[in-house]
Amino acid sequence: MSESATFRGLNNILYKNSFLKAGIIIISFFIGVILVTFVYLPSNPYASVGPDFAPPSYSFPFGTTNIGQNILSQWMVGTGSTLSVGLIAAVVSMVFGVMFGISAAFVKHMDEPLMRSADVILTLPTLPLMIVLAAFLKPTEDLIAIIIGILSWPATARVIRSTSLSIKSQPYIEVALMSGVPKRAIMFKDVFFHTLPIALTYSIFSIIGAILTIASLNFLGLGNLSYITWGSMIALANDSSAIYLGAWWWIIIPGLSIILLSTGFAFIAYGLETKWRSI
Amino acid sequence: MATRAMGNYSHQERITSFFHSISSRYTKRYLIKRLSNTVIIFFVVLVINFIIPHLMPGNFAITYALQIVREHPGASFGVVYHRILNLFGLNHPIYIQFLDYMRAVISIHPNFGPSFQFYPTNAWVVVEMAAKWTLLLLGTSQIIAWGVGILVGIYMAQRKDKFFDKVFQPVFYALNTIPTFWLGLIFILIFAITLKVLPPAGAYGLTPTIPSIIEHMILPLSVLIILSLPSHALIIRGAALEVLSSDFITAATAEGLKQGTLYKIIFKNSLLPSLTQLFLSIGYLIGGVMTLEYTFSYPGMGTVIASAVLSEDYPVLQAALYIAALVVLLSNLSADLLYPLIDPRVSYE
Repeated sequence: MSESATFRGLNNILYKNSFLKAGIIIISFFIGVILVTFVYLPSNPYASVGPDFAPPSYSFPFGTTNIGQNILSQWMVGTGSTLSVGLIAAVVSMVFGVMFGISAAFVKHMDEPLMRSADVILTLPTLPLMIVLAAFLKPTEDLIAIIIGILSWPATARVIRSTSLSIKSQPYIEVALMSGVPKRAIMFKDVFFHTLPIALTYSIFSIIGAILTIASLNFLGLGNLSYITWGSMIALANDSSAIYLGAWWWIIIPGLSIILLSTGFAFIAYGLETKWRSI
Repeated sequence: MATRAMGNYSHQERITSFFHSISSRYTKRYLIKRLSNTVIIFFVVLVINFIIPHLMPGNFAITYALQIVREHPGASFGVVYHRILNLFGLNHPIYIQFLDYMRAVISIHPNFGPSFQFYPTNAWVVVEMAAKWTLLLLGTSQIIAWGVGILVGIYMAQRKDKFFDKVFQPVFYALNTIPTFWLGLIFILIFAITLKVLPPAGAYGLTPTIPSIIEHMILPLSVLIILSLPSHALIIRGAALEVLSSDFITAATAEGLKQGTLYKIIFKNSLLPSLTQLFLSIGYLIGGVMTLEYTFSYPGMGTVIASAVLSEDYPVLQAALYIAALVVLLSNLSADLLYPLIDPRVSYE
């Protein structure tokens, strides 16, 4: 019975919350594309298979690049790598955010230093800093994603801290403390599971941030451009003067995909946020 | 103080009382916390800037010297190498290097060493010249976006849950996710290449005359305005909704408040939150402005950074990070100093 109630509850949320629904449809589409990539690719994304700068046609639905690579297969491969880079950043920022947020709320002498360093990191200009790091140290895409995750934990940690503080003052936690449940168990069991939905919501925002930051880095010529992401596709198109030669498809398709994917995530995050606020 | 008529004060007294009323908004604790935060962050940026070259694989003096010799084939490796050793004090222990670095950087003309591309011009001079264009673009676009954002936000709040509000909320969320450089490319494609009405690149024609500067600014400026308008409008919408739903407005409307007076109240109450948002968004925007400048080959910091990345011009990159951090820090500090003026409770927390 409880299962069907949960299902009905979920159904209700989805039905009422059109932002959440639209977001889930968009993300499912891209996950579908990634699943198709595992079994079928139109051609090797690096191989020159057609005429140079061919506009979209029946055999090349998304057109070709300056050396005749099939943009459809590049786009399909790029979907997976763009999404994975975003997910890495989100997981890192969520892990750090939850860990630091809960410890700031529960461990007294950790609160001030953790929140102060959160202030410091929030004020750092992310993109200029990433540019300098990437130019000097030449990290891989995954490492860049991890650094972006590390730079974006403070926003999550702040929300987790304030939520944990309000949970901490709930009567049932006080009762648990008084009846001798160790503080550690409360921190890791009760508070952790209560703050998890909020942490997930905020980490979605860092997916968007990571996707846009890495796209910008690629566009400025940083990172490994032979690693196909939508950002590196636009960067290569710009380097080969695609717009001046009229090859609009090479720029519009990956760009629109970045926007669509990020908007999907943003819709999910805003939908979830309004849901948690209404509880 | 308010009960005494202002006419009783002399001009001098009026000015001092104005400053007194402003300074009484800040508690000492608040000011110390904010200022020390700013200093700490500034120090962190300087330390990061110092450490990064030392994290490079191998000896960075050799990397630097090789790069200069590659850029300028006439230069002798030995001479350049020894000049770099002396410049960065690499023969000294690391803490002396750090002190030397701090002494060189904390001054009116910070010294990050010579630029590799424009050797022997100082990297700071290269970035300083570019920063003017970046600040021009950033400042103009934000003033316009902020002004239009106030109007759009108040309009949306007044028509909450009606057509305009319902359509533009998701549109604004979507606009927030557009990469700045991509919209720049699309604008070049539409207005410069297809319609041929505006120039696609650069900041001015043959000479920097004002009409040509304005003509070249229209495209990058409109991209920035379109992309930063949503956050301003949404913040102001929220602030205006708060005012509209408050009891005193309901009471005043029942007593026959004029439409014009209502607008005035909403405007006054949403002005400061949006102003803080304006300052806080600089940190996020400066990255977008940089990629956009590269798109339009605008002679700002973005283009300088991109060409420095291409030719591995490390001192220029360090100077660019320094100046970007400085701009962001100062704008954050102004936001912090504005908070207590909006809400005096903030300075007592």
